[in-house]
Parts: sequence; structure tokens; C-alpha cells
Amino acid sequence: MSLYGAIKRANQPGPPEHSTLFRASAAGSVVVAIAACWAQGELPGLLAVGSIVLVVVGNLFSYWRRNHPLPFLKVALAAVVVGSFVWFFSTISSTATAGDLSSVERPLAILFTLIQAAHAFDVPSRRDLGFSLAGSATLMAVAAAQAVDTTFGLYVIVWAVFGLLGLLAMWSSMAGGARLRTRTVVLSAVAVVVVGTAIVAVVPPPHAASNLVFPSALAGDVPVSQPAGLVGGGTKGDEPLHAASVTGATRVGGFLGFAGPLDTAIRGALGDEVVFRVRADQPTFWVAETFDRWDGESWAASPPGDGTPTWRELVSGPPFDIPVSTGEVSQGPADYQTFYVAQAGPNLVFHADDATQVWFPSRRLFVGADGTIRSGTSMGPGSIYTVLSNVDAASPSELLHAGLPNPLPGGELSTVDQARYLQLPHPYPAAAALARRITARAPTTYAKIVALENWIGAHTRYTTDIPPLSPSQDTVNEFLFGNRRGYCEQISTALAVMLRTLGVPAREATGYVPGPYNPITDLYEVQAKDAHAWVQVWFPGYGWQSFDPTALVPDANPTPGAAIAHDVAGALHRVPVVPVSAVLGALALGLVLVVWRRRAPATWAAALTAELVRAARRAGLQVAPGETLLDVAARLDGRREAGGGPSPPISAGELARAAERAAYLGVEPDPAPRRDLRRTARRLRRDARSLRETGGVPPRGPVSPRGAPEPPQTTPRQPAGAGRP
Amino acid sequence: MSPGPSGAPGPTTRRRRHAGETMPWPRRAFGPVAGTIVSLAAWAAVAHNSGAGWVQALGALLAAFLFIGLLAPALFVRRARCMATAGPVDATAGSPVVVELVVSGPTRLRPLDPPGTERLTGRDRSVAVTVVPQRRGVLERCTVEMASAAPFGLLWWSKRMVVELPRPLLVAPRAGTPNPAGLVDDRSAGEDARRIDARVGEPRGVREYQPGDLQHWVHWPATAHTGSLMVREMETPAASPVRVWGVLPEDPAEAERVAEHVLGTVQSLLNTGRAVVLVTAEPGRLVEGPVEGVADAGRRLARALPRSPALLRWRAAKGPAGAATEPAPATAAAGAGR
Repeated sequence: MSLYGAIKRANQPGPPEHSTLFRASAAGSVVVAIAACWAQGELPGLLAVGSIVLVVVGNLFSYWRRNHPLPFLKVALAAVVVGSFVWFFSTISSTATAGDLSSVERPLAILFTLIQAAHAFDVPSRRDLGFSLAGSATLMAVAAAQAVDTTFGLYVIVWAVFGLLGLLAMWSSMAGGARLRTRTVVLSAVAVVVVGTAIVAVVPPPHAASNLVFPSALAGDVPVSQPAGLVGGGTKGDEPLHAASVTGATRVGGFLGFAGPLDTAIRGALGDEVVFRVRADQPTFWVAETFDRWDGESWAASPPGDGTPTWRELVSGPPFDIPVSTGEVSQGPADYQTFYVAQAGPNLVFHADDATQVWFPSRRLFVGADGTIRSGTSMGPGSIYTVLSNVDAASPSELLHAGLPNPLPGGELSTVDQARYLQLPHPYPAAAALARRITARAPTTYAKIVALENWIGAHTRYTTDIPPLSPSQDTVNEFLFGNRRGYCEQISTALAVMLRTLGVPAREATGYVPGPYNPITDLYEVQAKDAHAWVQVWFPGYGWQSFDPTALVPDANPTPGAAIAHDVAGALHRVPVVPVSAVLGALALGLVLVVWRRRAPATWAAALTAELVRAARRAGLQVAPGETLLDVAARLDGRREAGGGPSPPISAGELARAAERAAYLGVEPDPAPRRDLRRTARRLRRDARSLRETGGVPPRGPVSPRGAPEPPQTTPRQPAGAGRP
Repeated sequence: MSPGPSGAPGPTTRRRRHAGETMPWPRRAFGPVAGTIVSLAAWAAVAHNSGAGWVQALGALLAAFLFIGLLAPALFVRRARCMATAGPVDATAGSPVVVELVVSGPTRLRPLDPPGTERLTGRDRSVAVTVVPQRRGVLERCTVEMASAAPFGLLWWSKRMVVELPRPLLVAPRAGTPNPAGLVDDRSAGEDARRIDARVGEPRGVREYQPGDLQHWVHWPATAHTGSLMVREMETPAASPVRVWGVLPEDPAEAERVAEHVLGTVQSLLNTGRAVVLVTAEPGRLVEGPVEGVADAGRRLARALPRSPALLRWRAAKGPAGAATEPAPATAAAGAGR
């Protein structure tokens, strides 16, 4: 066969596809995929709505013309597709950046959408509908590339339902119109879920290729009024410098803790709204600020003291190269973290320890002497940035020997820094005596830290419900020698102060803990309540190492089990109501149509029988099981005669005889008389209610609410040798 | 195999492969499998390197659909059952025969032996398939290929299955060209002559007039004597039955050819009004008996078995008028004659 012949044969339209369920499912899957791209911001609203309308109209048109597709239509649609490709390549050649997937995704989504909208007008056969189904998967993939939260799962579920129904309907059509059984649908769905879940569980989590440009975007930004000054996000430019409230713009109650001094006297409650989501190679603390100056109630960050600027502005990016801070030793494995901001927040660039590069969509970035990073703008929801850190967490055995003779070269704190990180507002005699007693048998710094953590864990309790601190009270003394109850700020502060009394340089760090990991999105979903404070201790040769004493402290009160209703309400609150309602409404409508079509009588005789039986029931006649149609019609005529009304041109008995001739003998009247008979039967049904009170012939046999006489199947038998396509 | 509630083949408590049933195997699997592997590999590469968890999750869902679509049909085919519920008793080689089958689920049926047309069962559990037996014989079972691509229609899997017919199907040979030479043994002469009623011939007696009798048959003296119209009753010697030798050679193709000639010969003799006695070999004996019609001859030939060359040489030595009884083989007793 020549190439032309092969191409011609490949483009031959297959036999027309009559299955409406298959067609509706294929169209539905495309519509959902377009809606998903629109929800992720990949498509302009007008294009998305217009494409959805075209897909629906196109499928209806294709169904109408499925037996006789228009010959010139393929040419016209091919021209549209070629034009779309031309537009796509011209767009990406002018705007796309090599290695930057995000610059290609939006044009790609538009291209796929245009192709699907055009293709919808020429899907007469099963193969064409299969291509539509497959094409919807690529559209969903483009949308999935931008999805970072679990609400995208609703689109996936709806798309999967359409895909499942479509495939099942395709098989039903291939098998010659086999009935789609509920059991098959349910088993198939369960099998898909089980196998899909198993695959997700087995495959390694995705890892963004380092040769690609990392995603970065800025949204809802508020510029910084002072260089490296702290500014909050939200509708006002002063959050979170002041305590936020649950009804505020960020819907985060209490004090975010990232507004300059860390005031341990302030009490608040943090909500479970997702603040940002992180894709990271490994979970770790994401630091925002560090504090070195303690005054008994608040932590503050003091200038370096050796003349170095507190904040250094970086202008050569993105990516921005972060210089190594004083005394730091950066030698750990690379850890790429991409932050997807979900709530308006301050201009703090959260990161794992020892950041070396930042991809931030701004011209200004500030790095502090302590290694923390601030941007030139605050960040609104939708902002994205990526940080590369060399996480150099030393092992316990390494830390155990740190500080002994022959330490690793370099990595020493300067005298000025030593003084900063040993600063105390007063000698803390009681805390110092306690610390000495606890660490009497701990020869090394690490051993001292472990001993202190263990003591804190054994002798204190965690709770956020502690009385406010009075002006004369010291947080550490109150925590260690007073109520011994507190949360991360009190606990970490106590450890830091006790270490300082022992001459160990320590500082307070604030940021977020990783939060729950979502295996579907591969993101850590950091909530407001994941804000945390911990201690960083200097180890010669290893730099600042993080310690979290709060992890060892048991809860003061048993933590109540997860508030299911609260979680459900929160989940429902995040559901996109309009698209979900639209899709559910369309599904319900489709289901109603399918059920209505299935219950519609298959043949003219069956329809006539149904009308006669309904008329009999309306007239108050009970139809006994096993009663023939002629019997029912006779009783109906009898009821009418007894009522004394005008005789109709065609009696019920004649209608019944016509139905039985058609059903049993296969002899149907011509179309015009058929319509007249049907019309007469409908009129009889409408008028039957008036016969209700006139009495009539009682039913023969047992009375049953059911038992309508069913006409036999009139499906003609296939002659011997006939096959099905 | 216990039938289901509707008479359809149902699952058994212990699944056993029936004799003749093969394991399911995929049909034209290269395209779907290669397409699946390429698509999933490309998807995995993009998903993994993009770092997007949802793309990977969507790929897992897609992989689930594809794996189930490619592998699940094997389970459906393995569980599929087929049973013959009705069929004719007689058939002719080369002519279509309709056999009613009941299947356990929507499948594609293709009769293999004897070959026939492919059918999709669709909604019906009961389906009529047309088979065309190629050779004469007694057909007690047929081989069908059952195929399914359930539940997603991505890849067809099929298996072969032997279906027992509800009753043996006697497949008569085609009616070939008559070939009296070497097959016909005419015993027109001799004491086997029979006499039959005839319109012309020798008078046998008188009887009462019956509508249809000719005027010149009226016997006036008997009529005057009896008072009712009487006619002469005639008789004539019947043609003696022709003995047709229907013992077939062992070579199947040759046996088929000979059987066709035998049937054609019998048909032509019957058409000329001759009585035919057909000699065939059935299990353990030679059968010699009159045939009532072409259909009867076809059935006899369907049941006929080939015999050894020794018998054929004996028959040739004895000639057409040879004994009807089969000579005793070296180790078996002689079969009965008439």
C-alpha cells in the first residue's frame, strides 16, 4: 500500500458511534479539563467559556451528522489546527525562556484547548471520541502542573468519573451494545482507585530538575517602605507588625511572630489556615528570623557590632547568590525548596538553614548578617519563590565531639559575636544553678544540650493556655520556677537562657516547621499554627545547629482529637462551589436523560401498551398480573360505556389489538395511522381520570399494584449468518 | 458446569479449565502495549522532572486506567463461559448451520471448527452463530473463540473453547456427481423381484372404483355382478433395489470425495424411482439397509467410517455382487450382514 493510500486509510472515518453515554462522557472529560486549566489560571476566562460552549455544541453537531459527516469539515478543522500551531510556535519563540516550563504552559494550554474545541465538530466515530478522551488527559496534565493544593483533586475526581464512564461506554459499544451494569462500574472504579493509589505510593516523589528554571512569581505585593524593613501583606500595609486577628485579612489569629521583636508576653491563638506550601527535598525548619538580644520578656535582633551592615542588599538576580554569613560553614547536601504562598504575609523569605541561592521575582533582596533573607516586597497569595540551601545538620556523634581538641578548621565565632550570643539581661542565678546541676555530668556542649532538653521535657508541660505575663515577671523564671507551662517561645527561651548561663552561644530562631505532607501534591502544607520558635547553638566547625526542645515536652492537657467537623468545614470552605455545582448539575442532568431514555418504550407497540396501562390506572382500574392487554382494554371500554360518555373514534380494544398485532405478528401500521393511534392513546390517557368515579368492571384475578401486561420483545431475530459490525 | 439462574452459563465454585479450553491471550497487543509504555514513560519523565506532584498523581491514575484496560480482559475471558443450547440434527457439508449458544457475558464469538461468522453478543446472553461444516461426519462439539476487551475496550483477549453440541449433528456430504461404476450393485433379476401396484401391467383382481381410476379400467362383468362400479387392479414387477457400496477409504480427502459420489449416485437412483440399499461401515459392523430418501442416505454417510484397504481389496475381489457381510479381520469376528 502506498503512503498516500495508508494516510487515506488512516483518515477514513470509522463506523458512526451511536452511544450517547460515550459521547457525553468524552465531552464531559474535555469540559472538565478546560475548567481545570481555567481554575489554575492557564486560560483566559473568555477563551475557557467559549471553548466549553464549542465543545458541547461540536459534540452535538457531530452526533447529529454522525451518519453523514460533512466532507469539507475535516479540511476546515485542519486549517484551524494548523493556525493554532502557528500561533503557538510564534508565541513561545518570542516569550518562552529555555528551561522555564511556566513560560510554555500557558500557550500550551491554549493550544490544546483550541484543538479540542475544533476536534469536537468532527467526532462521528468511536476512534474520534477516544482521541477526545486522550486529549483531555493532556489538558489535565497542563492544569496539574500548576496545581499546588488538594482542591484540584475535585477536578481530577470528576474527570476520572467521566473517563471511567467513557471507557466503559466505549467497551459497551464495541461489544454490540452490551448493557452497562452497576456492578461493573463500581468494580472498575474501585480497581482504578486501588491501582492508582498503589502506584502513587510506590513511585518516588517528583524532584524538580535542577537544569530547569525554578518557578517564581509575585502576587499581591506591597513594596517595602524602608530597606529591609518588615512589612506585612494583606489589605493594609501594617500587618503583621501588629497582632492579627482571626477576622483579619489573613484570617490568622494571634501574633504571627514575624514582626520584629519576639514578645513572649503576647498570648494568641494561631489558626490552621495554610500559610504556604513547600516542595522540598527534605523536611526541616524554615527559618524567618533570628534573635540574639534577650531582655527578660522579648527577643530582638541587634546589629552585628563589628561594623558589618545588618542587612546587605542583593541586586544581581534572580537567582540571587547568598553570601555565607560570618562564621558559617556551608558544607551540607543541596536542598531545593519552592514556596507557594497561600496567604498574604510579611516580606520574609523563609528558607532552610544556609541558603545559597534564591530565585525570587524581584530586583531587590536583602540578606542579614545572621543569614536570614528579606525581600523588597511583601508577598500575596500566589507568590512563588525557590531557595537552594546546603543543609549542614551535623550528626549527633559529630556534635558530641565538637569543641574537643582538633576541631575542624575554620568556623569560629568572633569575640563580638560571642558576646552577643551570650548576652543576658541579668545573671539569672536560679536558672544558672539549675543548669549547672542538670549538666554536671555532661562534658560536651552537645551533652549539655541533651541533658537540658531532657530535663525540660520531664519537668514542664506544653500548652498555649498560660496566663499573661505581668510586667514585673521574667518569662524564663516564671516558666522554670513558676507554672512550668508554656509553648515553644517559653520553652526555647528557657533553653537558650540556660545555655547562655553555661557559656554556650545560643540564639532564638523563629519560622515554621514543615507541617503535614501531602503525598498527592508532594508539598508540605504549612499552616499558621506551624509557626515555631527553636534554639540555635553555635558549634565550632559546624556552625549554627538547630535544637527543638518543644518536641520533648509533653502536652499539658491531652490534645483533643482532630476536630472532624472543623476539618470538614474547612475542607468544604475551600471547595470551589460554582464549578463543582455546575459539574454536578450537568452530571445529574445527564443521568436523568440516560434513565429517561432507558425507560422510554423501545417500540411503538410498547409505547401504545404503556399508554393503555396508564389510562387504565388513571381510571382507577387495578391491573392484575397476567392480565392481557385486551382484557385491560375491555375493562377500560366497559368503564367508559358505564360512564355514558361519547364513544371515541377508536376504542381501547382496537388500540390493544393494534399493539398486539405489532408485538406478536410484527405487523405495524403505516407511519400516519401509527401516529393517529398513538395520539388517540394519549388522549385516552388524559381523559381517563374522568372515568375514575363511574365504577366499572372489577379486575379479575388477584389485585396487585404491579402486573402491567408487558408486550413481548419485538426485537427481530437476526437471520442466520448475519453479523454485527 | 452449573447454569446460572437464567439458564446462562454461570460460574462454578471451583474454576477448572475444560478440555480444549486454552489460556487467554492478547490479540494484536503490540500497538496498545507499546503506546502505553511510551506514553507512561514520557509522562513519568515530565512529571518527575517538573516536580509537580499532581502531574505524577494524574499519571498514576492514567496508568491505572491503562493497566486495567490492558490486563483485566484476561480475567473476563478466563471467566467467560459458553454453552450450546439448540442446534439442528442434520446438516450438509458446505452449508451454513445455525447453533444457539448461551454466553456468560458480552463477548465476541467466532466459530473456529467448524468455521463460521463472528458475532458480538451485545445485550443478549443467547446468540445464534452460523457455522459451516466443511466435511461430512458426526459433529458432537465445536470450537469457538471467545474474546473480550472488558471493561475499557483497550485490548482484546481471547481464548479457545470447545462447546458440546446439545445433540450430535450429522453432516452429510455434498451431493456429488453420480458415479455408478464401482459403487452400484443392481439386482434387478432373480427371486428378489417384488410386485407393486401399477397403472399398467398384469391384472391382479378387481376392486371398487375410486376417484382417479381410468374409465377403461372398469370391469363391467364385476360391476354387473356386484351392482357397484368395479375396476381392474393391475400390478407390475418392481425394480429390484440397487445396492450401493458406501464404504469409504481411509484417506479423509478421498473418503470425502467418495462419499460425495455415493450420495450423488443415491440421489440420482432415487430420482429415477429405484429403491436403494446402501452399504456403509459403522463402528464395529457393516450396515446394509434401504434408504428412505436423500436425507436418510446423508445421515448414513455422515455416520460412515472409513475401512481398511484389506476390506476394500476383498470387496474388489468379490465384485459388486459380493457378499454383504464384512470378511472377518484377523483379530475380530465378522460383522453381521443384512
